[in-house]
Amino acid sequence: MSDAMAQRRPLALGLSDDERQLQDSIERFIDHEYDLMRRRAALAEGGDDPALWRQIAELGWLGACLPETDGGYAQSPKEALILLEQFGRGLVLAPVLDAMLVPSAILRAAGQGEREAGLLMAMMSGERRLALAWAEPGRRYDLRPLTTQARHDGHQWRLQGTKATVLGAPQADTLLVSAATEQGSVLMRVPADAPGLSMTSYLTIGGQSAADLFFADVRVADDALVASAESAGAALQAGWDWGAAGACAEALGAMRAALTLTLKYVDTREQFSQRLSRFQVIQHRLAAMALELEYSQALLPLLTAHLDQRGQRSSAVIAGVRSRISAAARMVTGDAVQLHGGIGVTDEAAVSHYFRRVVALDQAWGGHRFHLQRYRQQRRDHDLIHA
Amino acid sequence: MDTLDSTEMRAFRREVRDFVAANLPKPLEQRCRQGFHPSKEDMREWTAILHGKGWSAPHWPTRYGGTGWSPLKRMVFDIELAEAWAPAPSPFGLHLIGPVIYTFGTEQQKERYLPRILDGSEFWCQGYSEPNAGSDLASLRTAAKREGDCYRVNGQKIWTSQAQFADWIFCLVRTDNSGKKQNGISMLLIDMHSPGVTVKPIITQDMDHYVNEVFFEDVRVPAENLIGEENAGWRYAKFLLENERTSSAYLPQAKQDMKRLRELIDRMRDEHSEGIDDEALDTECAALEIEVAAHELAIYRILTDNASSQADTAASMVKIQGARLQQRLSALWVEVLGMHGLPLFQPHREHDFGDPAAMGAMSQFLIRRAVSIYGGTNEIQHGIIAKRGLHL
Ligand SMILES: Cc1cc2nc3c(=O)[nH]c(=O)nc-3n(C[C@H](O)[C@H](O)[C@H](O)COP(=O)(O)OP(=O)(O)OC[C@H]3O[C@@H](n4cnc5c(N)ncnc54)[C@H](O)[C@@H]3O)c2cc1C
Repeated sequence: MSDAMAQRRPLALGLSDDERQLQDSIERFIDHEYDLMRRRAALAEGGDDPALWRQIAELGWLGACLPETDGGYAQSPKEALILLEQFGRGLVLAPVLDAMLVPSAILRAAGQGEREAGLLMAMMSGERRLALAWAEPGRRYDLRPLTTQARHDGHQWRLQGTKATVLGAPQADTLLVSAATEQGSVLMRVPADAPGLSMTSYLTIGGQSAADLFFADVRVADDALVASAESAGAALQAGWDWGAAGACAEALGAMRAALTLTLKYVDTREQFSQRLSRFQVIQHRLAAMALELEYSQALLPLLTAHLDQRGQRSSAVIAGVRSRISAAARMVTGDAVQLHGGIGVTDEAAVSHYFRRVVALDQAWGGHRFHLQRYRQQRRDHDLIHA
Repeated sequence: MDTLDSTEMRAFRREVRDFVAANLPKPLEQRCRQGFHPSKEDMREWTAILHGKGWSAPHWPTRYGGTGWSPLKRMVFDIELAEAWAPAPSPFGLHLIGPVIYTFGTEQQKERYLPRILDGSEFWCQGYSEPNAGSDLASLRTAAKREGDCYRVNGQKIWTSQAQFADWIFCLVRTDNSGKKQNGISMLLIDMHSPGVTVKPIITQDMDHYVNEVFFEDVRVPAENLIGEENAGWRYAKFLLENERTSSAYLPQAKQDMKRLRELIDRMRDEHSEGIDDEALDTECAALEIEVAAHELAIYRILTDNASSQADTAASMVKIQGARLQQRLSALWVEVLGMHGLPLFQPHREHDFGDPAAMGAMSQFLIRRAVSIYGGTNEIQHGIIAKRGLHL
């Protein structure tokens, strides 16, 4: 028991007053200022809504997501998860996870918080955005870099290789790039406009912009090294844990909204001279969806308890929770589409946006099967809560 | 008794394979391999090639241009084509309205329509569903009023696949409002180029355009375009469904998907062993291989069972299972691709980056959510099994 406590934060069930206040204000903002039209407009602009990003920063929510050690005012990862959950519910297209949370988690885990204090402040004020470039062509979720290589020529670092589907890269001013060296994997900070760096940008099905990056002898100074071979593996894992966990919070909000939409729809749509909600088959399906939602929500505190805690056990718990929530989110949003019938698979229908968002969140940070496998490999004991 | 393993069947398979190898144009093969939906031109071209060999409609009676093959042999044929990356032809003429026309149509109708379905020169679409008549199809309201030697048609269809390029639509229309809903429906063949027909696109979640709304505003349709008798349309619609019990089960597509998936995993394993070394993926892939085999044999049972007392329920079962397989196989395909699965098409289409097999994966996964909805939803199919099969 005490061992487990040492490895994680105390489990906080429910919300504190401050947390509830934050949640209420985000909820209000979304209900008044955000809708599918605004999302569509951002999609038409390549997945970016710079005015929204400024607004979110001015409201202080980016700062609310980062811990005090980074200059923010989060008491725990919960504030960030609250924001993501609400953004998931509202289909808000803003790269909080990719441009802020994942990169800052990496800087933190690499012990760069102090050195990068200026950068972190600029991120919280919405001026700067980062992106993590980890994936390489054809290598799925292998975190170890191989085809992107860095070599020190005595004066500077020189980077060569490719990265695939880097979320948020087209809007980032700085990239955190994993690269292989003779000593092992490292993480480098590379300006997006560095000579020799080119990218192909596109939209993902979740609405985010992404790019494939090509490094042709990109040169960066010594101080671009964010994490050396000793610390890069753990730093990358910390960032990934945030990605996987944050995606769960967002998926949770999306599931809830998709369920709400479906409840409304089946209560108005009539076939065979009755409302769809009168069919028991449909009632049971909705009940099963509600159960999945409830169980996903129940698991969330484990994420808060384990994020930013170093060590394999925390990563394993996050993977386990992720596998459960990810599977549930796919099921719930998939069934929501099914219960809408033909209209459910159209771009016009909000429910298809929730489904696509959930699929993208699953795909971007490893799906339920992948994380179940990770959990199985890394778990230490049979009890995720008490050890 | 039919068997798959006779020398004759083996020789037949080889013949089909050799024919495809020699005649399928490379660009068509390439697009199919990558998982793209066949374009109108692809379908037209391939149907014409098959027609040249007398193979465009194997299931039709020989006097209308079919082959006289047994149902099992036809399925084997379809599987061979799919596994050789041939695009599936448009089903609406060849599989849906063609058989209705040669079974219930007039001689004039047979002469007018069948040859152009057979050679791929005319495209058809299916006008059944309406905004308020989806699962409850019999509630349809698009009205056809007899006026001399014409019908005047007014109303709206929705979800009409391929209406944007079809030459003809076979429509269920209401010709009588007095009795039971099913008894006032007729089947009309309507020229899509007629004045008063408007087609509006619907974009699906894969951001593509297959389905449409079709509006009819005082469209005049010659009375000779009526199929069979007035008010007997429901019967023809049911015949149409029953005639093709197994084609909505997507067996050839499932086998093609399985092959594509295996090839993709093997190639990735050769090129970058580590990322793909994932027991969880292998387990799902293995489970799907078993599922596909069960599906194949369930379909062969339908095709070779003469008693067929359980025919409708078996047809519903393979429809449900076929839809599940379409969804699970494409989900695994996307899952195998990892980050490459995230974009819809780009940049692979333009820059040939990443795995070429990635190109159509996500778009297929997304559109296949519709497979459990169209042609009778999974829920409706379960209802049929419960009612007609289990007598509940
Ligand atoms: C991509 C695509 C292509 C299509 N192509 C064509 C085409 O070419 N031609 C054509 O005519 N139509 C086409 N359709 C329409 C399709 O056949 C209908 O969408 C389908 O019949 C369902 O009707 P609906 O969409 O109105 O859903 P609804 O009937 O409103 O159903 C909504 C939900 O309620 C459930 N439900 C309905 N009734 C019951 C019940 N009694 N018990 C339990 N559950 C029930 C359904 O299963 C579904 O989950 C296409 C649809 C799609 C999505």
